[in-house]
Amino acid sequence: MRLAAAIAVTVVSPAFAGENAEKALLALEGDIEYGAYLASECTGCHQASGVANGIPAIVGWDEGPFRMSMLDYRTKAREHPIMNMIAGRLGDEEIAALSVYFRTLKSAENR
Amino acid sequence: MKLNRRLFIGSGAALALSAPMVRAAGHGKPHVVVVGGGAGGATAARYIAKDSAGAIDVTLIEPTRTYFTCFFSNLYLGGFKEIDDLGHTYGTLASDYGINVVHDWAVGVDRDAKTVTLAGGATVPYDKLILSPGIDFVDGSVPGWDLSAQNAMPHAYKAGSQTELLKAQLQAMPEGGLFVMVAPPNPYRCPPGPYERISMIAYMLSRTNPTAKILIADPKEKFSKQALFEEGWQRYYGGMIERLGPDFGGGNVSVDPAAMTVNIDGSVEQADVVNVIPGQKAGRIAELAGVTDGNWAPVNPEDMSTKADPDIYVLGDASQQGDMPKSGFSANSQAKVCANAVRGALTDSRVFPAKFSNTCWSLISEDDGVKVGASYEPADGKISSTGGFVSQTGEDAALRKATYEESEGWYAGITADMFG
Repeated sequence: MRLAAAIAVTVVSPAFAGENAEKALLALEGDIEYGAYLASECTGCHQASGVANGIPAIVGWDEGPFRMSMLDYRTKAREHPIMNMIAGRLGDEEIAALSVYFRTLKSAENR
Repeated sequence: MKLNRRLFIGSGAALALSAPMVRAAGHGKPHVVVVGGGAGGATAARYIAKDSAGAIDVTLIEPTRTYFTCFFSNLYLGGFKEIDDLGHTYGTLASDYGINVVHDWAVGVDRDAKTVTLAGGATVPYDKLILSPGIDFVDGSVPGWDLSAQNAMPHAYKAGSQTELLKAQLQAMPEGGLFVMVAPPNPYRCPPGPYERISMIAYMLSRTNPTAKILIADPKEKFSKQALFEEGWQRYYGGMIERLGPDFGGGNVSVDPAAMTVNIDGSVEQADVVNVIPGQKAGRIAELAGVTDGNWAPVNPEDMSTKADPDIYVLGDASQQGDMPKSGFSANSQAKVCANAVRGALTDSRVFPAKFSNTCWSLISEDDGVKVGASYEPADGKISSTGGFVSQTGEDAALRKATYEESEGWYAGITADMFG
């Protein structure tokens, strides 16, 4: 059985593996307090108020799109030197934590 | 003398004052004192006050009422910013975050009594002390230059009146005149800063005084983003800029501020404007607190606490932490790790693993921005780089413009993160 499982793993297509990674990331429960700490690395550039001038606003997003966006930066499916670096060292737990924290922040326009 | 309400109102030293400030450490709420209201100190004060939600009293000691950021001050020299664009005040930190903002100089630290003495005579108790004093200059770094010469030959490496003075001198330079920069030895604040400054001065002179010359005397073999700057200088300012590295005597420089001459390895240049950026060391309060070793204050990479005293932390330029460059971005990043650790130590809140990052943007010409950055984490007893990136030569104009616009966004972001 163990051998069979190992073989099964080797024949999983990259696309399927990617889908599984997305599902696993989307299913995670985020730790909002950890997210608040991690977010401090983001808010040196992305304003916590949601004001955007030159750097996009990232507050108030739904968790799914936020997580998928970070996953794309982590895998470099989406390229940006700073974001690839930042996301490149975030695990699923960190991305989930960030997504729940930023969802709670309201943009300046929606306050 | 203990700090009290009467003293502060009487001296006019306090912008904001609340009763808890008069409590001595060990009574009531824990008390954090932050010295220096720049990228490290203002950020640390704001995050501790914000995240502790009143559980920690925070006092921020900063001599200036309007703080001019050193980052982006080169853009003022180039004409892309007004001086007021660089100025920030502490009103929001006091009114919205409850921080006791005290405009005075910290002139002493008693580590046994755990107090900070102010120039006005007051004594402020602390449970945790965060020093973020920026830089001071090493005496004798450039023979012939000391602080008494800073009007004749400005350093403009602490932003504000010095930056305005340098710009006024450049604007008054005779047609075809000579501007000389004496560049600093490593390590110093903002590694690309002198070279962005050269770019911005060349931008300004190429429009107002196109036959002027720029000479750099540089003690360093190489410098940050060198290929990017040299490519830009050739493209935009061909023939205007000459750099003498150590192979050509750039490390053997003295100046005569009265005669306005610069002696580079025996060759005397008669200059019209001279910008001396001396060798640097930690801001003096770090030395007075006894937490420096040589020119800088060694810190532990997990929380920015000093090697000398677990209750004193040093952020930003003044710290000796490992691989991070001395930059506003670095100080801001370090402040947030420190704030999380200090809050945890004082209130048992959760402390998360330290991680740091830095990006330095530079403007070479209009809409031609470049950047360098890296991520960091504690390893081997220091802050160690875990990877980075740098702009490439030959990038297209659209990317360079986007990079510049990103830097504008960062300036808005970090100043909001510092001052609220």
